[in-house]
Amino acid sequence: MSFSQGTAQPDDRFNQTDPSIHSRLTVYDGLSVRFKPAPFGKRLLAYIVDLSIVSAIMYIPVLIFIFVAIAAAAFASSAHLGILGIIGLVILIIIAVLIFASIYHGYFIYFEYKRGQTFGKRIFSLKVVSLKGGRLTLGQCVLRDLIRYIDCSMIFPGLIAIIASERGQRLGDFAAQTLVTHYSTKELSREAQYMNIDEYHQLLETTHPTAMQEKEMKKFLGFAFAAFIIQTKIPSAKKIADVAAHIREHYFGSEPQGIDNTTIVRFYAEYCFRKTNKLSSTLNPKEIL
Amino acid sequence: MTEFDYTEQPADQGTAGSGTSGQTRDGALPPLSPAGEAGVKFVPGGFWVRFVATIIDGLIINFVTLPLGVLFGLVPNVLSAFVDESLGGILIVVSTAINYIVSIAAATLYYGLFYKKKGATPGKMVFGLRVVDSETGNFIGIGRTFLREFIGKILSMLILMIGYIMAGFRGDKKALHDLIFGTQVLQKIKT
Repeated sequence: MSFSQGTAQPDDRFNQTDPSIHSRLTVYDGLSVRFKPAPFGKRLLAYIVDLSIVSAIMYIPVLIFIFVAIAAAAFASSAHLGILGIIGLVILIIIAVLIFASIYHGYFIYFEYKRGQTFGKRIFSLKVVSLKGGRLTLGQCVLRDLIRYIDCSMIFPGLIAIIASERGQRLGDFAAQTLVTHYSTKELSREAQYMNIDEYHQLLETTHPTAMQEKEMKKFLGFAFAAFIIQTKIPSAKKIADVAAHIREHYFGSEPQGIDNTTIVRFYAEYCFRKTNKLSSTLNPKEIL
Repeated sequence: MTEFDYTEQPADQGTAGSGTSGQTRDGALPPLSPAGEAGVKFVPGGFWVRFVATIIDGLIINFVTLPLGVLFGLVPNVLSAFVDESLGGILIVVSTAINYIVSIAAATLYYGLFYKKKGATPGKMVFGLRVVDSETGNFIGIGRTFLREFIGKILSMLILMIGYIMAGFRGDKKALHDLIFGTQVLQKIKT
């Protein structure tokens, strides 16, 4: 079994022959995982579905609020409270707005953080992926959601951004460094991201790696992701050698022989990625990127 | 254990590229593997792309300054009804001044920090545009950004926006504020 980069057999199940489909994204040679930007129509429909779900959740609270508001208004006018009544009503409205806003935002943020997709997105096979490597952080989810206000304002810069940008991101996606991808159900079984699955397991057994500290793992994953997956910051050979030496020294249980530096970095990146996403080490057909 | 540094110095400085593209910031992007795309290159950013990018930027800034403007406009005027004339007048003048200063500060920070750190504001990032020094290809600092935005763009607006329009007709797509302050707007395109 060879370990050198680039000699892995391309998997014909997933590789498509027409590269223009992925013309807006980097495709790593030979790997089955791709980032397909989600078509705008699907994103729009998913959002509409999500809005309907949120409205359904808010239906009863809204009814309660209307009832309470009418009662309060009647009470305020009958008790001749004057300015105090108006201030009370204003406070009531503010509280209601806060509650509804938190339901709306909470829905999106909670589900996108927990599983990377809301129910509307799930219906259309969309998933939110972090471009920093590893798992979506809470900050990313919050930012993504709040900037939707700017995206949907006036001339819809979000729509323009999705059409014009390289990876189909809206302004919220740019800010949070995320991507909304589209997976087909045939791709449910996920192979390794940074390297061939068999090589990964082999290396897992020979090297017995240990995990990094969380802070460093974030930086390392960001580095590896940018280097190997989206290829926006391709490191020099010396840099890879340095990182590989660092990993060898601190995080490998046993010293592997005859494996080149790039493979070491890739392997450890895959290991960290799986740790952050809490994926099991063995292949699970139901796992989606 | 000392912290390991994963940030990369630019892998190689890249060749001089075509005309004014200069050096790229995050290392030269080499051609990708056969299954991927052929490569990227930087060309001068066209008029209409910059136009839409500017509109989007304006929208984003308005998002912050407009509510502030309403706040500073509404509140003092309402309050001034409750106090006597002279105090009300001072209140309005002061709040207008504060509003003005805050708006300019917000715009300066927005453009300054984004141009300095990433070479592009979000409106430009959407289209893959970036603003660089026309000789060295580096990103420009806050001082030069401030001058370019507040003085340069005003100059471009004089005489029926001729300074902006000239960007459409020049080969290197430079507007008047680009010429004066030695900047170039590039667009990243796939070859």
